[in-house]
Amino acid sequence: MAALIILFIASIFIGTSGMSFLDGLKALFRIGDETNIIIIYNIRLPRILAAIIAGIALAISGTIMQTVSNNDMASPSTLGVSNAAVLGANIAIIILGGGIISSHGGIVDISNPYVVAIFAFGFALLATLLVLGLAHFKKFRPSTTILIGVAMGTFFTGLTTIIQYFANDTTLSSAIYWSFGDLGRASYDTLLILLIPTALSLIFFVIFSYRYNALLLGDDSAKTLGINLKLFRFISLLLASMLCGLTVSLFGIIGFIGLLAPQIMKRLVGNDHKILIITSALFGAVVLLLCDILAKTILGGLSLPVGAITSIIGAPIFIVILLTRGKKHD
Amino acid sequence: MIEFKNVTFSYDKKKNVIKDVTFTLNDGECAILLGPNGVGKTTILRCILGELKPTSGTVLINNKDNKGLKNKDLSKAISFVPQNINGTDLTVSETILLGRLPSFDLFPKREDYIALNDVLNEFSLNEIKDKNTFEISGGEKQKVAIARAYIQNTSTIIFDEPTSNLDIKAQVMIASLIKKITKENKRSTLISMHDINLALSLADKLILLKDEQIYKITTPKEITSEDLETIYGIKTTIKEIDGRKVVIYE
Repeated sequence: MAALIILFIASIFIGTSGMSFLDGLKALFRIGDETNIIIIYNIRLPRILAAIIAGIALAISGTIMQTVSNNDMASPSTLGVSNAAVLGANIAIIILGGGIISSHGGIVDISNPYVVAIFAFGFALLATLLVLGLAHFKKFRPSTTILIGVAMGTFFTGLTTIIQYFANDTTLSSAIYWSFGDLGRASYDTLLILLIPTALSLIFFVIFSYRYNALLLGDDSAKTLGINLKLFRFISLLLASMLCGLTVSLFGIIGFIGLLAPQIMKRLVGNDHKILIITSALFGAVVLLLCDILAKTILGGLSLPVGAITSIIGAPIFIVILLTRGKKHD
Repeated sequence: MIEFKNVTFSYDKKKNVIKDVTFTLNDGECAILLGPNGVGKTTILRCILGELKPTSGTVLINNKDNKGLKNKDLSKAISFVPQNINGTDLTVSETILLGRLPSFDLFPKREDYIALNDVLNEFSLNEIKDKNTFEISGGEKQKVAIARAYIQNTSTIIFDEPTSNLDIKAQVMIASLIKKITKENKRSTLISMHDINLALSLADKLILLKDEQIYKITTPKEITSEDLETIYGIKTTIKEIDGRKVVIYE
């Protein structure tokens, strides 16, 4: 929590505009240059809040995915949700012309971000319902559901590649730019869209934390503890996938947070979900905020997509975890 | 009380896994299912737990058909100790407390923690109560699983081969726990088991299975070496030592 507060404060004063600490402080109290006040309140604060909310959304989504599927390698994108969102966005940008890239003074922008986000989320929702529907009607085990999700993800990626193959240079650039995880797209409106489902899902996950603990005992035991396994799994996977779908739709692909946060927190605090869910959420927020600071500062005046930073940092950490993981997790 | 009435189960309607099985588990009784691998012991348990739906016949739990029982209702009548106990990465206390989930639903209340303390004392688990279940032995894991089922406070506890992966010391410890649960605490227990001598020392009723059917329902006093030869196909001698029957394999 302390790390989150420190990073929150630091993030307010770190950016690519070259604003001094003193000017930043003045702007925070709405004193001084109007441009600085706009940068603080309309660009930096929404971006910081986006990092916190998206970090929480991805982390709790990954935690629940791993528990419900009984698979430590599951992540928010496991059900093919991210790939479906990317396909939706590509259809909106390339086929429907919903997002032509524009460049004003070096600032890259998607001309119609809401259409693209709606298409991305629609496809994410469709993919989730398709995989969970198949799992429900064919009575798949959780591990099979995950495999179906992986296969569907590959299928969506194939379709995306075909659409991109026939795109012209401009729309292809737009589509590729969109897929970069970038918190710079955040506005107060988009934050609200993500905040409400994230908060509600977090409350749901914590309220039912003892049921998630019971799932660790195995299906036979969990069932005799009164849990309606099919319904509980369905709702949990639906909420987790929706959080991932929404995040990808609004900010593009931000990898590894959903995989790393539960993996690291399980090693630090154990598997008691009433603690694990909260600590994973905080860890997700801290890591994404930290990665966003790096994205803004690593190349001086140029802001990199945070999705690239999370993957570059996350992948080696994940490999180290795998190499040093305790015997109990093998 | 559990009444298993003329139950047949098959996965594909071609080959029966169990066929026309009928028996009753009375209140406070310890019944043990005996028979070779693949004879349908676990299938019987899974039909009672509602995981498998009988192709024909009925399973009554406290006079109610288990087809109409919700998991919630089932959890108040039956608790279950599986054969393979997962390490949960929870502490022993947290794992046992889950047995109270049907009572507390969302978060444990004061009475659930009181029940936990009682069970930790009763099962002598205080020394390891804060240990991670990954760090305890197989016998201790089994003991924790039994404590979790016990704290659920159901009239019946079902055990699926509770001693099969344990060393002799742990087997004796688990057997005495099961005896305590049935004899002192008057819970009904239904157990699938391979160890015939352990079964003879625990059971009130022995349900002998052969070729997917019940061959005979008998008692430790009445079982004969012919019965064992019929169901297992091995020669045995049954001797009585200090009033207890002991099976010697030839």
